[in-house]
Amino acid sequence: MNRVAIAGVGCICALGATTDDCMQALYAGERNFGLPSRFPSHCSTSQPVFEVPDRFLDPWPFPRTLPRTCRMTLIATEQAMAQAHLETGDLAQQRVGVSLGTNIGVTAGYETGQAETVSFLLPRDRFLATNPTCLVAATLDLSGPQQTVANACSAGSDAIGIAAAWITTGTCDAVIAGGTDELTPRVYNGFKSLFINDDHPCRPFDRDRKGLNLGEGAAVFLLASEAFCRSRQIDPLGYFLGYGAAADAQHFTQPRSDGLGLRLAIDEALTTAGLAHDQVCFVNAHGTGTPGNDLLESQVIADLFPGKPFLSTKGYTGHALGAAGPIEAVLTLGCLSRGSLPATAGYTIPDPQLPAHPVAVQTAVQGTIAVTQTLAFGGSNSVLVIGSKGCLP
Amino acid sequence: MKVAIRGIGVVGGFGSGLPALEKALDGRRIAPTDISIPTREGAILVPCLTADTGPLADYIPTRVLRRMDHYIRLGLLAAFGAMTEAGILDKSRRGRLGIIVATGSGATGNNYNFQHPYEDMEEICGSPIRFSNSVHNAAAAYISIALAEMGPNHSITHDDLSFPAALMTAVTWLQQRRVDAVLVGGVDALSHAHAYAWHAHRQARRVVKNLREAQKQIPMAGEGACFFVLKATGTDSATCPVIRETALGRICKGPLPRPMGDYYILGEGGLAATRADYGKWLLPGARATCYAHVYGDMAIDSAFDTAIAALSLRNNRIYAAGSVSQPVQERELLADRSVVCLKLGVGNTFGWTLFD
Amino acid sequence: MTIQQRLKEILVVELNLEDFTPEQIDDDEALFGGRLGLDSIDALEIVYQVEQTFRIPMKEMNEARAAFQSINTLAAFIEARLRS
Repeated sequence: MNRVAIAGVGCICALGATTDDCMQALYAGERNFGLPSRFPSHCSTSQPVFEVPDRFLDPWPFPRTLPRTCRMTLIATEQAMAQAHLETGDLAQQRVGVSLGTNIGVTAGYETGQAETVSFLLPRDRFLATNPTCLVAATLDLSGPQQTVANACSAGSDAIGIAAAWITTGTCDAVIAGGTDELTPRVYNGFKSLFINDDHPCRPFDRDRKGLNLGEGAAVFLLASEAFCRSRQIDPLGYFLGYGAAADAQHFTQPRSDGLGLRLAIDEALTTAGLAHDQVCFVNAHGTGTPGNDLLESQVIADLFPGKPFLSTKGYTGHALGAAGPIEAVLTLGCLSRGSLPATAGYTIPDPQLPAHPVAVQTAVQGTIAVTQTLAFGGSNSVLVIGSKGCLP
Repeated sequence: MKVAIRGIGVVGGFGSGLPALEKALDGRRIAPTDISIPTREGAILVPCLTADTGPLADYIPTRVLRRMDHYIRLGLLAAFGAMTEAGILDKSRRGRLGIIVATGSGATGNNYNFQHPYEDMEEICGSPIRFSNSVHNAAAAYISIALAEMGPNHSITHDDLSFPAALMTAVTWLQQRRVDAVLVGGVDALSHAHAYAWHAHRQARRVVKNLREAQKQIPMAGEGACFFVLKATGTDSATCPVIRETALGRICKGPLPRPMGDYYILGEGGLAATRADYGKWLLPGARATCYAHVYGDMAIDSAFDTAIAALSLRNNRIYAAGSVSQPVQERELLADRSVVCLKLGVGNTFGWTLFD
Repeated sequence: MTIQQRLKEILVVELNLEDFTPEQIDDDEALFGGRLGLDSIDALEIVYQVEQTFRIPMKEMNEARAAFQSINTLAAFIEARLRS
């Protein structure tokens, strides 16, 4: 994969309603968790989550009748377009695609409270009214390909990887790429039944970690060819340099303990970027706070990136499923640009079983290239290599 | 980039395997099954074209399958069929394989579910087995586990453009030389919403005589899976159907990006398709057929159309079971016609595949 | 119906053990590592089914692990929780 320019970025999650708000809250150490506030009253709500509050959504001109997944996507897309100094109609009828990862955004409204309002529609129209990819394409009047990726927790990272391929193979000049997911009782209780959730705010890589907290949000990149950027005088914010993906092919809910799938994905990502492991200046780990995940990631990072700093940002955002990879890519780009990593929120006590430990305090980093990795239910491993503005030779 | 279809696996209301599909294409009648569809007014019985996954036991012991639901089993059966025909079930003959699964109705067939208030979802929420099976990449994940395949694994859920998007992604991966082969296909378990829509449409036809859409015969809701093994064309694929080009996009103002074909297989099944205007896409004098009645109404219909196109090319046939404006002659030959599969889908989108 | 019989029914139906009938499961045979072929996901499913059937909430898997040796140990665990 050749590099693909990042022309604009948008992000909304528990940290903040915009990318800048998120980065500010990140470095301020804000952790906005709480018990779920929107579930029906008979659903159990004893485990904390990272919600996006209504006050983040309400200022934007997208109706409350839309599923939250869609509203957040449209908000993030508008931010990305604004950052590239593009108006809604500027991409109309051009070779611009949409590639988004989501889990809730494909269920045609039935678990997001829209069931009553869409149940009279034909299935196809139900999907059209509730799917974020379709809504972005219609809002911006785009003529390029569309795809909704449903790879569980790595859906958003994979959507970005595929979008980049559309650009480098010449199918598209630009792509709106990212991910979105909202909190729902089905997923919350499903994770609870698998004993994956923590009763406390999550503690990535910590000795006493017990599990993850779910989150929600959306993050969108306006990806573009460098020719597209030049023709519109867009100064790229950074670049996606490589993408790798591999399957564990072993167990449906638990990652491989030898981390082989993750290792293969990292290797593919760096190979396609034409980079060596030691050129990476830090790693944004998946770091959910589950015992098994954090152990294997620590082992892989210790092996492949010895001595390099790494962090998990899920102590600030929760695990936003399909949005997790894109949100973390936004935060990774932000950290690269600032030359600094925030502390790994929730991490206080090193686990003696782990060969590598994340940054516990704000830490300066030097370099222009970072890796962000996502591991999914079903065994998918997705890795993105991100370069800041200064990464070009 | 041209890609060759090296293997095809199918399962649907017509049975499983290509011979069963060919019999149905030659006109063998498929008996529907009455399925109980829950509604707020009580259960109703609706005839549907349902698929049997019994033959999966030829590939995987039933005790290994026990937690896998119908949706996952449909995917496994068709995937194994394609891998077997391609001769790469054996890992040593495989090279690096990517897996891409497209679905419209999704894991558990419930994406369009219209009768589940939150209370009913407790059953899906709280049971770890049912929850795991409801995660959207369930089929792709279990296929990778069954094949012990660690290559890239991708699931697409985009209603009736899911399969065209999956096919385009497969071609992209081969173009990038990311993998040596791609196992790409579609899986749709029966969608109650599709079955109910057929039922409601049939009721409407009885009541409203002049409803324009009601004049068209709508296929029953179906289910099934259809998988392909694709490889870049090479010297050993002379007898394989070859895909020359795929396209995916949204219809905007201006000329339609029409494929240059002589024989079109149209993804015309389903209620919403009656509103689509396939006529504008056909070149003058082109032949067109639609086979939705053979496999039923479902979002991944274009996967079956692709299989039928491949069979047409392999066997130099235009199959009789296509519903057409001009009837298909018995044993009508495909001859030198260039074949196109065309799907007009959700949100004014299109996906087409042009064969060599 | 005894707790043991109910548990065996749950195993056969909810875990889809097609090769067994409830009567064919011994009260003392090992649930895990034995001929039933159960794994960690099955253990979680049993926890859920026990919660739903007997209304015994289980907050930690560790609580359940010791009880999961056999049908009899599981029945004893349930009886003890129902009494308290």
